[in-house]
Amino acid sequence: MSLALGRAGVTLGFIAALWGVLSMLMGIFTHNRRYLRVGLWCAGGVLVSAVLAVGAMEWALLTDDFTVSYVAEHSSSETPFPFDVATLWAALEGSILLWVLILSGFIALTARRFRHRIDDPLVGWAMVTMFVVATFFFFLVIGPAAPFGSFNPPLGYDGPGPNPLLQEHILMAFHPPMLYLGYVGFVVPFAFAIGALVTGRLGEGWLLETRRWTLVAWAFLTAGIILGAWWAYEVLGWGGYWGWDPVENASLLPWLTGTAYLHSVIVQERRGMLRVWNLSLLCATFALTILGTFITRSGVLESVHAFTTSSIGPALLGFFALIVVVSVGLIGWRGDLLRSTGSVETPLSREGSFLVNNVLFAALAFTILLGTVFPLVVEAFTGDRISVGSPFFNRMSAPIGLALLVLMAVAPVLPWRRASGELLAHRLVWPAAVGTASLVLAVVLGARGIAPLVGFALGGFALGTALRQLVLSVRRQGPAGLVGRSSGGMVVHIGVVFIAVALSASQAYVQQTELRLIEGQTATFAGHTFTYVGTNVVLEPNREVSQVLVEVDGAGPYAPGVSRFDFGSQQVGTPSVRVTPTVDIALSVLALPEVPGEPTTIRVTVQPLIVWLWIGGGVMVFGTLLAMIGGGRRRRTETPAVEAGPSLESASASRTDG
Amino acid sequence: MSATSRPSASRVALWLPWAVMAAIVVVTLAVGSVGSSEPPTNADRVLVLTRSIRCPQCAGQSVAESDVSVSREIRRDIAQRVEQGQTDDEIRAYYASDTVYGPDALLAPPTEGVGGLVWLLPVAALALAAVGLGLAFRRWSASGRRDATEDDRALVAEALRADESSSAEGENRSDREH
Repeated sequence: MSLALGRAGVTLGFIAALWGVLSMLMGIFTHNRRYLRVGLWCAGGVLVSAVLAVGAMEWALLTDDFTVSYVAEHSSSETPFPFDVATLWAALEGSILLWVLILSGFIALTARRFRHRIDDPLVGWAMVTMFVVATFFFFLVIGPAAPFGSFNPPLGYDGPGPNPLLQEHILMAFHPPMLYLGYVGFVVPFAFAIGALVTGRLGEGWLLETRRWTLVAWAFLTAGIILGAWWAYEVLGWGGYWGWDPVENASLLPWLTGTAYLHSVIVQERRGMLRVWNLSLLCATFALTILGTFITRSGVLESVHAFTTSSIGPALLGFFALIVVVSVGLIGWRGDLLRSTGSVETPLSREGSFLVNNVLFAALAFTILLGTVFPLVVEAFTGDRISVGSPFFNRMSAPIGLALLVLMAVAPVLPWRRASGELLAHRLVWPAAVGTASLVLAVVLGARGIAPLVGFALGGFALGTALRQLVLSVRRQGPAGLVGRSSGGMVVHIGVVFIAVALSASQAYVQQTELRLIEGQTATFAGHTFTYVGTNVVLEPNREVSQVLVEVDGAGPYAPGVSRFDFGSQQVGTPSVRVTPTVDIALSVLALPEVPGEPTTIRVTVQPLIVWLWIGGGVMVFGTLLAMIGGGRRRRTETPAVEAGPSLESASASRTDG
Repeated sequence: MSATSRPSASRVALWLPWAVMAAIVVVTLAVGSVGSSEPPTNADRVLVLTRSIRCPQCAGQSVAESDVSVSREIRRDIAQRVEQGQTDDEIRAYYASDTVYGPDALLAPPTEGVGGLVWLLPVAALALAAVGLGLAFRRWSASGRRDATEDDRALVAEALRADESSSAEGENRSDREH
């Protein structure tokens, strides 16, 4: 039943997406609104099909319907709620299905939002672009990554369940969908960019149309990345949160180009400049999400996050190539229209600082992409095997990160066009005082070492600037001064400062050791005492957790453990973390006592300020929400009318019968 | 914004806090970096070393991150070597030797040979971008001066004044001012 419904869903979705491409193209070329309206219906059809397919899959997962191959391979009758729901994204085929659902959602939302302007060719081409993307992804779930294969379960068959690492923490229920919402969300601005290029309407209209869509995608991507780091920290048990793993890098790359775009687009809105650059950034962002999926899902690079590999590599690589070729081709073709007359005379101006920001973000993205694929390239050309890991990424990204902090401290107070030294000295004096004070405070509290201290000082400086801008805005406009793009952006900056300071501190002052303790014994490490007080066994339907009870500084006990899953002999560590605002103490079990009374080995990681990584992520998302409220109202009402030109009458006519 | 018209007393008032803060920052950084010159503890060295050596069996993790038994062995071995007084370079060289795990045991790519490119290219790209941006600023600056007439400037100034009158300092424009 689920199998049939699911297959029907993906097949209908494929047909609806393809039909959408064709009818939109027909409509655009024949100027026949009937075809365009069919295109709108196709958007609905795509969504309904995707909901049908995902619903069928979830039903199969919940009812342990092992006739569906994906369920047989990745679920088990003992997988507890909500992990059985989350099994949808525990492996490749289901992940692509989730991708399809989110993509369909965005297509339907776009179609609904722009239904009255469907005969605007810009909107039309944007819909064509999205339908093409949808066709490709529906093709993936029909062919190379089909979750709805049929399986004939022998009597009493039970599946292995999802990868144990994915059953360890509730964050797994949120992190992948967030990340996918971010990845896929960039399809909307990308589609409008393509639409603008095809129609030649390269003014600022399409930017304003997609401003909020971009912010939504960016907020989800940010949340997804932070939740991924949190998940790694809570589950993997090595005391780290970011390993510069290919999957992590792949999620960071579109975030970097997307962030660069969010900044440089302001220059285009304000001054009409950087058109080519902004289009390129958007196309790069979307292309990088596809490339990231290729890198992480095709098995060319191994990663702890890539739970399966499959044969979709060539298809994804081909689609990536198509995006790049179409984007570059269109931008080249429209080159003459993209030239702008404006100029930026000095880096010491708002627009100049945005350019510097973009250079830094692009350099960081380039470095990370290079480091991620470099081992492959070297091996392909010379046969040498080399590794590029966290020592490389940390060393290369730290200076760029510090430079970005400087920019965050200075750029927000810069006026457009040109600034004088006096003006800066006047506007930056309080932010600099905050920076100086944070430095002094850090040293007084005992922080040592040039690198983290510079991080704290610059963090304080940037924080001071963000606060100054917020205070000024509130003074001008009252509480309403807290919403809107500028203030929302400053709140995001505050979140970034939290994360930057937490990164500096945790990287510089992390301490780790392995303690071998017999029951009742106490050890001291990094100024904390650890007492092994006993063991405990927790039986759950799908696993058996052997816990070691440890008191930290007399509090607790904390119970890091080792989970044994029924299926196979897989053992997975279950760390336990004592969280405080100033310092985290993470415990994980390395060796359980074989028999009672024998010693146990635990790993202790003491890291300061970790919790501020997650708080900073929350502040960033909150700031993005503030930026979405209000803003862009002024030109939004005008531009479509000015830009839409000839189709204006039909657009207003369609409003009556739409 | 014109600097020359300000009386010099206000110039002092403007820059004095900066001089004071610069002095404080220099002194504090000096204090903060002197204190850090004590040698790292053995535990610190083990952590840095284990994070820079690849787990031979797993997917791109360091031995510090991985929980498979070979990683535990390597961690134990590194701790022992540190205790015995081997230097970081000696320990890394041992693991990177062809008889043990080979050069790709090191997560930091080599600085020589083809591997060096991965260090060089980002720096080169950033330098190139900086030079390009600098040239662009100069060209824009030059063409800006040549093209704009006095009438243009008056127009722009007027437009800017009108545009910025709605925000207090003519900075930090929000989009909501209309």
